[in-house]
Amino acid sequence: MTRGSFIFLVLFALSHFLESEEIAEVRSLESMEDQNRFNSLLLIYRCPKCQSSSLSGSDAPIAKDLKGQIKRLIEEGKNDKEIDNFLRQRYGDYISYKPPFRRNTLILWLSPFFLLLGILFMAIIWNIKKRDEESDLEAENVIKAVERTRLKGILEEES
Amino acid sequence: MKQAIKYLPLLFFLILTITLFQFLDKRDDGQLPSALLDKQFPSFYLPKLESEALVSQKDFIKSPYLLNVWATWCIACRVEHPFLMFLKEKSEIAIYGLNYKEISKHEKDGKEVAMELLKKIGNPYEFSVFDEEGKLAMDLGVYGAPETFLVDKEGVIRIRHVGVLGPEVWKEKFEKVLREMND
Repeated sequence: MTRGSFIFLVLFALSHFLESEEIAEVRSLESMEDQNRFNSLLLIYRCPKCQSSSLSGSDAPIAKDLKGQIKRLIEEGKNDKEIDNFLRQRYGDYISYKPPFRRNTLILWLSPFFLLLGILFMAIIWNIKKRDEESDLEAENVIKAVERTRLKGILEEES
Repeated sequence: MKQAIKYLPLLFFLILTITLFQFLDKRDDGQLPSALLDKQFPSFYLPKLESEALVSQKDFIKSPYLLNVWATWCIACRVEHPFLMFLKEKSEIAIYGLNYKEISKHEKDGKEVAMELLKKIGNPYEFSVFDEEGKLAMDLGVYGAPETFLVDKEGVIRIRHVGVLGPEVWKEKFEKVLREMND
């Protein structure tokens, strides 16, 4: 390792340290209860800029602003419902990972149940079919056995 | 019945294919549906960029106007700037700026940095609202710049456009709504 790269590594590590301190500042809340609430809220809401990441997992400036705002709302004594309304009014339903149960989200909520019903239906039909085939086979075997003994009898009579 | 069941997976596959095929056409431009569409423009009380005066939503004119979110750090804002200047020269519509989280540079504060840029490249805005902390921007659901809002004479938000505003978007999105408003 050259001296240059060593210095770079040290600086890189330090810069990370500074960053985490900054985040800690945003996240410090008076009571443990509020802090836990804050942390769980950050997992529910989406960063509007980087749409596949939660607020908690995003360092985008807008995510930082929203974290600050949620923190302020908690400090003002707002409950979860009020915070949810605040975010939805501004950023729409998209901001939350929990979609509301409404007419235009019916498919989203109900399709898994219909899929399950469909699979159940198919499974039952498949089972019936299989059982039918098995009983057919059994019947065939019985007939074969009967015929075999009859044939044997005929052969023995002739000899 | 038994024959039909044999074709069920094929049917399922076809439905899936058709459904997914529909999505191919929809270009994902990262635009979120705005929660503020057809809602009243949020009230605010913030300093003007050009002076120390405070302005509110009541200072916008009572006819349709654009509110354009911009900042000097926003590269795409520079891309749409010539088109905003074009709209201003044609006096097509009143344009207001929302200077969003301006950064300070070399002992100059955000206001000075922003004003300097406008002097250099031209100012398409009647005035700009100086929103250093992004307070109004948050009430508008802004999550980046540039963004452009079209507000009608009743102060209701009719269009929210995220990204660069150019002639094509203007023609397809804005002119249609403006025409409807005039009818």
